[in-house]
Amino acid sequence: MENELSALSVIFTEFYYWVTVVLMFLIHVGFCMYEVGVSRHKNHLHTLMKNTMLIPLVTVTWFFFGWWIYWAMINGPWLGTSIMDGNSGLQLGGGYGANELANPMSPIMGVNLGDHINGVFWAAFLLFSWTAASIVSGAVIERIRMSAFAILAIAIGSVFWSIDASWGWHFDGWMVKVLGYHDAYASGVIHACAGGFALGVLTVLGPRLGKFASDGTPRNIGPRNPWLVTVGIFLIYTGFWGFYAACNIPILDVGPEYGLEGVYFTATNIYATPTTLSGITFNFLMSLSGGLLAGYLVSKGDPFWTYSSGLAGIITASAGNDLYHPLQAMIIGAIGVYVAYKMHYWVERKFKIDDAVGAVAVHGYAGVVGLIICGFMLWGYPSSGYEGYAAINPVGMIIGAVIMFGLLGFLPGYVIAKILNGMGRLRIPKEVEIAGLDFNYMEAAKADEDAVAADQK
Amino acid sequence: MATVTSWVETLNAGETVIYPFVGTEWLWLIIAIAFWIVWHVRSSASETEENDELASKGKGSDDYKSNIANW
Repeated sequence: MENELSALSVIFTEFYYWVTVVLMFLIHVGFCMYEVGVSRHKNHLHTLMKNTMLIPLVTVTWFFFGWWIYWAMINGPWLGTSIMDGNSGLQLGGGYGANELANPMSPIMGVNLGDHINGVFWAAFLLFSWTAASIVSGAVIERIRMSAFAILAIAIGSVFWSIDASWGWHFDGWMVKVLGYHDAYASGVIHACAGGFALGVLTVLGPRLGKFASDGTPRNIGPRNPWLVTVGIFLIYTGFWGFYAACNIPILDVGPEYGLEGVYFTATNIYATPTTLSGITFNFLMSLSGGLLAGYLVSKGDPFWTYSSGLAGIITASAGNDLYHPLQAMIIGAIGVYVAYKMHYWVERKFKIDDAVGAVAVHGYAGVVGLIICGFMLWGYPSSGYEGYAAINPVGMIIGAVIMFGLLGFLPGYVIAKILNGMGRLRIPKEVEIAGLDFNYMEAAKADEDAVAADQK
Repeated sequence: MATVTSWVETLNAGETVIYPFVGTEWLWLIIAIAFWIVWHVRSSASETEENDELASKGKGSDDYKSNIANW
């Protein structure tokens, strides 16, 4: 750091991302509470452990290779050309290459007095990875093997979301350049992708026992603890604030970046195009509200769906929330919720998909709708401040939605689940599902309680 | 051997990497990856064992209710 001003800027940015990481931790706390609230008593502890253990598993693999993938795959490879050095294969150098920033053996991946950003930026992305895995976790509760989920969590959290972020959520990503893809707060790169992945897994995993009657009619296995669900969702909302901030670069002089005369300091999104933290705060709250209002209406006041719809509203508007007017964000959030809700029940009835928490709807369908709407709403906006990028357009965004939900979401989820299922490693035995995953824990706890009580007589 | 033995010397020399055993990162990575893989193998085996044992009990869907503890 050369002087007090540059030191202040660097330390501010370092602290900014650190705060977002701490805030985003609340997303995971919320997911844990939410999943336990939705699961039945006899499965609480396993449900909790499943969502807890994805934290270390995704973290270490994000360190081993996930972060490296993000920086390495920006060109597809061979689908785009880097503006850094003209490379079109794996991006290993050029200033922001994988081996420069993300090699797990590199000195920059540790305590390094010459760098104050890599660790907190790595962590911010990591928290997105946890979220991606956690989205899948909720959908598959009460019947998936922990060891199978561990592999699936790593696949979505440290591989496939990392690839899609590299392609479409990077200033030099090929989808941004070639398709004009724009997804400022990750309608697609996290939510549609993880929702699609969850659907792929669910297709193979099958429904919980008793979810469907013999004639195929779905039964509601509703939340068992509405209070945990409520607090959980509120914590997810709270963490989502941190997520929005984490998606921004807090202060950047775009003047030299864009070849302007003089300096131009601004906050930017991940593509280094200008926005403001203040503006996205409008949009976050208005899309949340649009989602809640629509959810209440369409579900006829069902609390479970109303809370989830607040989330779905934000997710739908997220792709363009760096630029939308707040009223647009509100309406777009409401539209996404309506479509997601209807799609959830249609898919459930038609394909016998048991999505225990509505994750595919809230994240997957709402994310896809958000991408498509963004393509129309922001049609003609530049996708980047750099030269040679395609403008945002509906066709590019629809293709982007297919890539996010289908190619990098549903397809790998389905294939990996198929492989695990073929090995007999995907689903717990029927007898265990009937007894409950926590039966042995509960039996031991009861025995302890009885023994202690006997000694106290 | 400590990477930093004097902060004055380290900072004056412009050294920025201050964690111990610089240059052995590859070794730590191998150990960490081995631990990660072993974790998967061991936890999967343990889960199979636990599931098989529970499945053999043949418990019904409401039997867990008699095990709900008050504490």
